[in-house]
Amino acid sequence: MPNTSDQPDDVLIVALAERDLGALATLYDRYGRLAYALAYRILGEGQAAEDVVHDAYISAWRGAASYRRERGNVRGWLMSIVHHRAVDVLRRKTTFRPAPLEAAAERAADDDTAEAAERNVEHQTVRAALEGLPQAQRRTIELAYFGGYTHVELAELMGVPLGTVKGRMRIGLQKLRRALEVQGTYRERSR
Amino acid sequence: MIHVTDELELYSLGALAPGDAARVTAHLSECPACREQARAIDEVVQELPETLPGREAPGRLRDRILASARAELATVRAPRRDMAWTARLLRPALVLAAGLWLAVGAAALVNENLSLSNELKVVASDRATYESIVEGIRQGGRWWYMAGKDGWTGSGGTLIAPRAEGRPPFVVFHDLRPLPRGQLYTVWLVSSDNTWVRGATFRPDGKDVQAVDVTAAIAGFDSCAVTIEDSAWGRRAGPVVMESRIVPPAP
Repeated sequence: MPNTSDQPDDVLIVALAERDLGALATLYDRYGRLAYALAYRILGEGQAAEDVVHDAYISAWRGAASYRRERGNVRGWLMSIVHHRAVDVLRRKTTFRPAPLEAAAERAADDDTAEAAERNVEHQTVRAALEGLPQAQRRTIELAYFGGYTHVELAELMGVPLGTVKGRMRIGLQKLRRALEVQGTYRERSR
Repeated sequence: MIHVTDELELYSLGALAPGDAARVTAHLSECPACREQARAIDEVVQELPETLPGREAPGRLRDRILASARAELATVRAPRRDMAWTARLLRPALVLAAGLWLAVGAAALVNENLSLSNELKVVASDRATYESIVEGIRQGGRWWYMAGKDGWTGSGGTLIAPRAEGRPPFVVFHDLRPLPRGQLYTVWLVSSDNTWVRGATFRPDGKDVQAVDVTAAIAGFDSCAVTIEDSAWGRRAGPVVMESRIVPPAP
């Protein structure tokens, strides 16, 4: 496989569409860890998370030609595939719902490596922006995105009207956007 | 047109029921205004994974993904091998036509998500190969058919010496068995005094039909055979797995 480790994502995605295994390996090296963290957070179980990341990358391998730059960067596209697949798997499990984010963070701490800690420092501003939201908005966003709850389920779970759930999501995401812009961290994460 | 602005946050966070999500997806495909709003919301939502604590993926996951992708590539590139019985029965030209049909057919049957351009590249490559073989056959000349024996029953190859000047002899094999690493198929030209001269050494490429050029001139030889050798050099040492039985008269 040719060395593609220094290539920007936009080049890699073209190579991926041309069935370049090196491009697939590089995209995994670049975002596989984040993909696994996301799948694990949603599913709360290692083997299921591994299966989801595997399926997501193979889906990207097959569908790279359908990627459109104007709809988002490569990292976001990959995470979107992982998220959809993980939530899909989660919703088929009727009895399991993942623990709140705080508990998940504690469970993950034992597995963290020095590299992971470094990465966490790099991205702490995003976490700080989320934690800076009012608790009701933050929990609504977290439970929807990481917990796989629909807005109807959230309304029942939180004991609030559907409109309130929608409002918390909208205002929360708007605040999050502004916070990231102010902190200067709202940027292209894809290389 | 009913816009979906009110549902875009729910959609981006994955909080819509599947039916509603499908409806929004359909709308976005035809509404640039909503699509632009959705893209702006997606940009924020796609930052959420960054809030998670780092978690090392299992080391085997990378190998697993690459192995799956590699297997898909092999599926696309290798024609199906379910026509061995016809290959044994049909004349070489028909076998070649079957090989071409298989290459095109396999490309047409591959998963719809695979890149069309790559399918076409594979088909074009195979077709160029088969066309070259057919062209060699069309020129006429002398043929020796080598039938597989023992564990190679069902395999076979036809040594063709084209009549046209400048065209080297070649062998068209069908249904070649795969070989363990380090072993080679070797084509031998055999004279009436039982002298064996190496004509070609090669590895099977996994396709139903494989053409191999013969580097030695065939004049003066009466038959041919294929052995399995450990080396591309030296005298014959391995077992004979194919051999010609009939020596057709010279035209």
